[in-house]
Amino acid sequence: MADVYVSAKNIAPICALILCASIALADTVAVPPSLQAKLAGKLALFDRAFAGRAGDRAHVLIVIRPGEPASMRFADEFAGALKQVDAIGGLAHDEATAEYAGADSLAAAVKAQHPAIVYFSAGFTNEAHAIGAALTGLDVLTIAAEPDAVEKGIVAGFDLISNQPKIVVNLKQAERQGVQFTGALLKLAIITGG
Amino acid sequence: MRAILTSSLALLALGLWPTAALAQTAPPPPSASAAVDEASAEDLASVLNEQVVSGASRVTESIETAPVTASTIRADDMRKFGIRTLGEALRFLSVGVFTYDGSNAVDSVTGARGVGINGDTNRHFLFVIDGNVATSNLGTTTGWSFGLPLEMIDTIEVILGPGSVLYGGNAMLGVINIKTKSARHMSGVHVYAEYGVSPSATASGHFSSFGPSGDGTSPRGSASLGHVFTFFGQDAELTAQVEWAKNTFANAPIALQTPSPATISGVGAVPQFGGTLSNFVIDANTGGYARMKVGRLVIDGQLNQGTQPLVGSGAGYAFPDGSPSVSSEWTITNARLDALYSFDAGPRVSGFIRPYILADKYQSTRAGEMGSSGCPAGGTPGSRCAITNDFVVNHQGLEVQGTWDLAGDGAWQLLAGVDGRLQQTGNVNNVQDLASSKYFAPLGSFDAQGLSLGGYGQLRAQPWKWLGINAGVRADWYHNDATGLSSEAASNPVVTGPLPSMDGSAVSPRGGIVVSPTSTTTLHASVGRAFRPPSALERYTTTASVELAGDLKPETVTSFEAGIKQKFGAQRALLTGFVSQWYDMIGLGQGSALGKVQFQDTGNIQNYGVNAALEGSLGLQRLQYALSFTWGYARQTTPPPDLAGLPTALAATAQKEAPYAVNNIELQGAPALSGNARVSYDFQGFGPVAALATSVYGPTLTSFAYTNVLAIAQGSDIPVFGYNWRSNINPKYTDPMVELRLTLTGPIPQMPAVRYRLMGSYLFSSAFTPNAYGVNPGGTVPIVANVPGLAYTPQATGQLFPTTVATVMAGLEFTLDP
Repeated sequence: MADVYVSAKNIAPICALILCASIALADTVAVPPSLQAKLAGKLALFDRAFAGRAGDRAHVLIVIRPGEPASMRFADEFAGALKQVDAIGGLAHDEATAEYAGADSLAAAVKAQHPAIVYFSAGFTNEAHAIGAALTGLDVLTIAAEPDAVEKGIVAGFDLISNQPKIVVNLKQAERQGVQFTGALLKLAIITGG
Repeated sequence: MRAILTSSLALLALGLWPTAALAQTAPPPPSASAAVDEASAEDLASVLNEQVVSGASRVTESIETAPVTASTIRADDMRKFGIRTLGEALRFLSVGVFTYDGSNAVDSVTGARGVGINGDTNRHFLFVIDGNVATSNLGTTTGWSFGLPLEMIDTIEVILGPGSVLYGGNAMLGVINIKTKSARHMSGVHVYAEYGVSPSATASGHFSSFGPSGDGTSPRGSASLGHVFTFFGQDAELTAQVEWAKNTFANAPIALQTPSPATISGVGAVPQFGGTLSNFVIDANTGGYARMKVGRLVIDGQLNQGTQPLVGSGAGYAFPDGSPSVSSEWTITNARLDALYSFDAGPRVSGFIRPYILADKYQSTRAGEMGSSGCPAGGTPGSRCAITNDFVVNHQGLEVQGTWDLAGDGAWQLLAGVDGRLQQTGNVNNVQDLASSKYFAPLGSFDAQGLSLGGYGQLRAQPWKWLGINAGVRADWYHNDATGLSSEAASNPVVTGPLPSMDGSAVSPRGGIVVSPTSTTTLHASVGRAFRPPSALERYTTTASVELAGDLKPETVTSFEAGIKQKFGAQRALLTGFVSQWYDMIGLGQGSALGKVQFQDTGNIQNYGVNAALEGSLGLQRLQYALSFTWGYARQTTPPPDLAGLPTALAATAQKEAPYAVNNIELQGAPALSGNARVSYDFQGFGPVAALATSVYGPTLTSFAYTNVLAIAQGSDIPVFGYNWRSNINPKYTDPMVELRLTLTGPIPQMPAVRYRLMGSYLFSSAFTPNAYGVNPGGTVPIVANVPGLAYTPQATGQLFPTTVATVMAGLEFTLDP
């Protein structure tokens, strides 16, 4: 009980920071969730390692920032839109939502659950670098709702340029996570990141 | 440390455990190992070709699922096709919209679907910039993008049909929703300069020649900045741009127009009109726009000034005293400051608060009019009059909007908002006899204070994958109090007096349904209503010839449309049919006495037609193409002539013309047929982007079509205006217009930071706008003379104002992005 109390005390400032961050969380998601879901389903087709990673069914883990209304709302809408996508990378799929508790925790969850795709809802741009570092060496396709997160360490994301969606790919991070995009995709994508 | 580790493990256990398995979709045949081939890439390209819009429902949605006909114009396309003004962008790149340039930027006309209101300064379209309404009582001009720097524009959404359900007044033809670039997409410093040359045209409006003098010129320059940074721990970005542009018309011959009567009793000789129009500045514009975003707060501001200076010679009025011919000069100043703070009120509710300020000012000076309605009889014989006008519109408003995700999955969304605005409108006219310095009365100036309130709600639902529903309604109420300001002829003191108040309300519903029987086919149908409140200028203007208006009802339009959107891979086709009925159109009509007119209800408009469009890409978006076609039938029914109070002889004359006046008349300046087509190819490093575009307009009824002058009253030489009494005999049309332009763009070899833009355009028809130009071009000879049984005295002849026949342009863009 004492440990729980102590941990709660330590969590408090973290929560406070998260609340401050929530105030700062602006409208950073460019592409509407329905279109993101459609693009995510097709994007996986261009990952040569996707089928081997997913097996006979694609598991999608949708990660939200706890306490972030915008993050939770966008995740709900994305999950709702994903229901209406027939296949992801040509496979049947199921989705689950998880709250983010840190990059290392996320890496542990990926190791344990083997999701084919980890999708980050709104609010992860500032965490993207840590997430990219934690997931290096793991076999997983990460997709961010926010385009800015891609440059910082998420494998792929979606941007809106002049009202048209664009796929943004961090090629180096893709290599670090065993994602093998085809040349056909790279012709259509914006390559970013280091 | 141990505590942190413990808490982290707890979060791992509690937080990362899947909270729910949300979906178990029916498994399609396994194809995970299928090779990714070009077909898959084209399939992905088809999704990447999809467009989103935010102006139709005030939420971001796929253009396929919007319940209306919409198109988007992208910055990349504007650059590729050498677009230089907002009017050009709409003309070459939109679906269903037409634009005509005028004799100055203020006269530009923007219409849609066969309906355009000539001279309305685009007040039947609602222009929105980054979510803030830019349309005011002053109107807008698309001549130079009404002050918004063109290189700053990221996207122009063109939403056709009534849009008052979410925006309030003026959204009758539709909504032009302009979005500027984010700092991420225009990072660094950009400098752009271009120079265009347009040759002279012959009297028949065809290409004459390039020459060292007499060519029109159109330089434009801009500098912009985009920067992403952190501000007190918050993500922030700044974008800003300043732009200067000037458009000088090529020398153009204007036929000599002899006025009749040549002399007005008690006033003197009426000057002739005509010659060579030279050094005529259509518009000169200097403007800037800045937008700063810090966390949830966005602040944007715009300051712009457009002028038509007093330069040029030739086709102005030639005065008996030999003084320089002068027509007019004007200056428009637009200033706008908006803020938007977005908020979340729980995981399902979000919204924004938007305070806004707008200040528009129009100042004009006309010197030298004689015997016209603006300079009444009684002045010094042979003298000229100076007419100055200051027209000011100010708004201060606040809008609060919230969105509630009812089911938590985005399938049912309720949007509601309120918008309140204070408005001040001032109009000060001064008419001065330059010889005696005497001011005339009445001057018709006023000061109006207004308040408007609007409340709206919209439900968007997608209960099933194949069905989308959009239903909403907005209620608006407005009130204005006004005071008249006028000057006595003798002593010129300013006297004031109350004017009637102006009250009104409007309810603007809209309902739409979208059905997607397959993943590539979307059917939509919608019905909506929009309105435009009478402007203070229409309600309170009085001059020597314009009487104070009576109660004016708001104009309204009710429209129904149904259409199909079909995708074929990366190609997209659209076909929409529409029917609209416009009511209570406000315009100048018959006044209560000879020589008097008045703003009043001038009738209704029936409109129906089709929009068709096809666009797409081939070769993984290397080749892009689009074409659109619109046919819109539009006729206005005018009320019958009011003969009460007219002298017997004149009433009898009017009665004879009545059968020719009360009928369905075509709209001036609005082509029934319009369209555009474009194709571009990106050589991707092996050459430039080559782009070919064309816009096509069918014959357009000109403002010569109807006589606005019923007769010259016997013995008085004062024209009797009868704007309601229009004859449709022998109307004059413009030639069909086909404009073609070729543009090459790309980086300069070995200099990737410098990009070039080369454009050449040519108009394959006589280059005239539908607008008449002359001493009194509203009164035309042929039409009146053709009315059987009537013998009118013609006032004057005029001609159509010329437009540019050809242009060559070169531009350079330099980017510095450290």
